[in-house]
Amino acid sequence: MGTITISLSDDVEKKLRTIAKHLYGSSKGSLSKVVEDALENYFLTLNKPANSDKKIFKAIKEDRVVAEASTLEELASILKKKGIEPRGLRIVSTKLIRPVVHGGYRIKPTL
Amino acid sequence: MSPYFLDGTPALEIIIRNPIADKSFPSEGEAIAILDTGFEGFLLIPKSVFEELSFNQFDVNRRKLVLANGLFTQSAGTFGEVIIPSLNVQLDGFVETIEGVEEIVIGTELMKNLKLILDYCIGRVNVKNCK
Repeated sequence: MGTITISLSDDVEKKLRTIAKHLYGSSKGSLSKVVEDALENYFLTLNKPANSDKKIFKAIKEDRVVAEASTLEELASILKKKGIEPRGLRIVSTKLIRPVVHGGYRIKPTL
Repeated sequence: MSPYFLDGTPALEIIIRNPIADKSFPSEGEAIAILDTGFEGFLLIPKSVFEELSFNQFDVNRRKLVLANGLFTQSAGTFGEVIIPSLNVQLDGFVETIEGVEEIVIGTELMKNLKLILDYCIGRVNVKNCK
């Protein structure tokens, strides 16, 4: 187990001490536990591939891709420039839609 | 407005957009959306809202939703935009509708972009952008 010395702003230090006391009381090592948990979470976010959320939207009309862009706003702008009417367009994404998902509990099963 | 509990259910105020048809719902202000971790989609909206946004003019995708009683229903959907003004966030995702749904429901696909803290002890909902 290593020991390191770091500097924190007064605000962050105050929050850290408050959270550590709330979670672990005044026990020895409480600050280290909170910092270790926080860093573990931070490392997880850093390990997430940068492009994992990247998707491309395509507008299809009569089986032909008429526009593609990384956001719907961009797609809309391209379609507008090309003078393509929205009616009958099929919008697809490179991130596939799952064919079956849970609907949750807000939907009343009275259908 | 910041997120809050609505009869014990976390709620968030949003604007739904169809950028391709240049339509927004509501046309002024924001709409209340319920956060439901049991819904695995992005956004579920009433049919009337779906039509108001002209999403029904597109060639829609259809998929199955598993209901709480284990039965299936079929939804129709396409891609739209959700704006969360309180977080200054704009997200693109699959917006769908089914017969009979009367409220706007945010699902886990949208929540993947958010850090959501529900504190029922003090009755506070805290939502932040992941990025």
